[in-house]
Amino acid sequence: MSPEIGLIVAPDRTYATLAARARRLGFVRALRRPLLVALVLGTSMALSTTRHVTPALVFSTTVMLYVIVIGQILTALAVMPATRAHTIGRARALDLFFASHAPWSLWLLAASAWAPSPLGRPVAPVWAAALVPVVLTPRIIAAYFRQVHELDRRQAAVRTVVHQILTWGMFLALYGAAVAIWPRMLQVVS
Amino acid sequence: MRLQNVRIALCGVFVIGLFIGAAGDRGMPHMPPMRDGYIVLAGDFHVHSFPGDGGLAPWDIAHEARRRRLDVFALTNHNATWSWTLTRALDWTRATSGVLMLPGVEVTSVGFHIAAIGIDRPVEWRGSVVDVAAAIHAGGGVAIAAHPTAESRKAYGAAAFRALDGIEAAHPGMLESERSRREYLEVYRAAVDAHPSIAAIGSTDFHTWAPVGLCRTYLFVRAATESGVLEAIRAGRTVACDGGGEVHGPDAFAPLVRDECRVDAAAPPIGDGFLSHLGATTAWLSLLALVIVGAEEPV
Repeated sequence: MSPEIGLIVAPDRTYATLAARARRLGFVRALRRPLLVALVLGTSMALSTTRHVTPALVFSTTVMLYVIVIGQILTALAVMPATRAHTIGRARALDLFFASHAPWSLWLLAASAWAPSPLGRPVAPVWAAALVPVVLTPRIIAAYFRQVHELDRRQAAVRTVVHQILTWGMFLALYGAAVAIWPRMLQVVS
Repeated sequence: MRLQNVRIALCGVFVIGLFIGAAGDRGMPHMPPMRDGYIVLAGDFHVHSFPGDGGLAPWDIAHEARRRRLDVFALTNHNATWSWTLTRALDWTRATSGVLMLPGVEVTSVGFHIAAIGIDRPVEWRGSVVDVAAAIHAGGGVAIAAHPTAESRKAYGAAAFRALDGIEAAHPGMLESERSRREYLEVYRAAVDAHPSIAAIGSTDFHTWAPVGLCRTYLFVRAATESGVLEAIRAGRTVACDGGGEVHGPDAFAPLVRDECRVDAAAPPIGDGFLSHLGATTAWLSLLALVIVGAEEPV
C-alpha cells in the first residue's frame, strides 16, 4: 500500500513505518510532496472553473495557489517540535508532514470531476464530501506527531489542535478579507 | 525503483494531457454582429478573480471569456481592486485575449451589493444605495444592483432604482428555483417602473463553478471601447440573457438578440471537443494516480 493511502487507512502504523525508514532529505527533494499538492490545487481549480486544461492555465493556477502551500509549510514549521526534526532533518519532517494532505488532494480531484454548476450537478455533495478530509486530517496529523516526532498522546493532541487553529484561522482571515466579511457581519447583527 | 519509473511516467502523461488540452484550445476570432446601427457586444459585468474570492487570475478569465464568446467583462471583487492592480502591473497580460477587461468593484455593503464598473479603486461602502451610487458616479463608473433578491429588497426603493444605472435581471441565482426566478424578474419590473431606462444586466457572479458568461449582457454600443460600453449601460441599451436562453430587457432591443441568447446559452465553449476532453481526462487521471501511488516506497 502506498504511504498516502496507508495514512488514510492506518495513520499510526504507516507513520511508524515511515519514521523507521526516516532519512535525511535535501530541501529540493523535500519539495516533491508540496509541489504535488500545488499541482492538485492548480489543476483542480483549472478544471472546476473552465472544464479544460492547458499548460499556461495550469501553470497560472498552480503558481497562484502556491500561496496556500506556502501557508501550509509555515503552519507546519510553526508547530513542528525541534528535537526529532533535528535527528531526521526539517526537510524530511516536512516531507512526511505533507503526506497527510492525501485526503484533501483526493477531495479536490473528486470535486473537480463532479463539477457542480447552476445548470447541472448540485454543489451540496461536494461540501458533504469535504467532511471526510475535515475528519481524517487531524487524525493523520496527530499520528504524525506521535510517530514521527515521538510525542506522547497529550502533546500530539495539543500540537494538532494548534495546527488546525492556525490553518483554519489563516483560511478564514484570507477568505474574510476576500469576501468583505465586515459588512456581512454587520448585516447579520442588524 | 520500478515505482519511481511509474511516477516519472505519470508526470509525463500529465504533461502530455496538458498539451493535448492546448491542442484543442484553438481560439476563433469573434466578430461582434451589427444590429440597428449598433455593434452588439456580449459582456459579463460581475466576475470575481484572483487575488480575491475568484478562482482564476484576470488573464485566465480573459482567455475563458473569449472561449465563451464574450467581448467584455469587468473584474468585481468585494470592496477591493487588487486584481486590477495586478493586471496593470502585468500589462502584457491584457493584450493577449482580445477581450476588453474593465476595472470594477462589487461594493459590498450592509443589506445590498452594487457592481461598480469603470472605477479602479474601492468606494465607500457605508451608506444607502443612493450614497454608494453617487460615489460610483463621482469616480466615473456605472452602478448596477447586484443579485437584488428578496433578501436585499428592503434596500431598493424607487429612489434607489433611480440612482442606479443598471440592475441584474439575469443571474445564476435565478436558475436555482422557479421562486427565485420570479423574485429576480419582479425586482427587475419594479426597477423599470421607477426608472424606465435602467439597464438590464445579465451577470454570472463568477467565482469558481458557474462558468464565465453563463448569464450575459448584450450591449448596443457605438464603439467597442470602455467608454462605449459605459455609455451603452448609462443609456439603457442593454439586454440581459439568462443561462436558460431567455432575454430580459427593453422591447426595442430584446428581440434583436433573442437568437444570440438562445444559441450562446446552449453552445459549448469554442474549442471544446474531443481533444479538450481527452486532455482534461488524461491530466486528471494521471494526477489521481500520482496521489494514490504516493511519493515513496509502499509501507
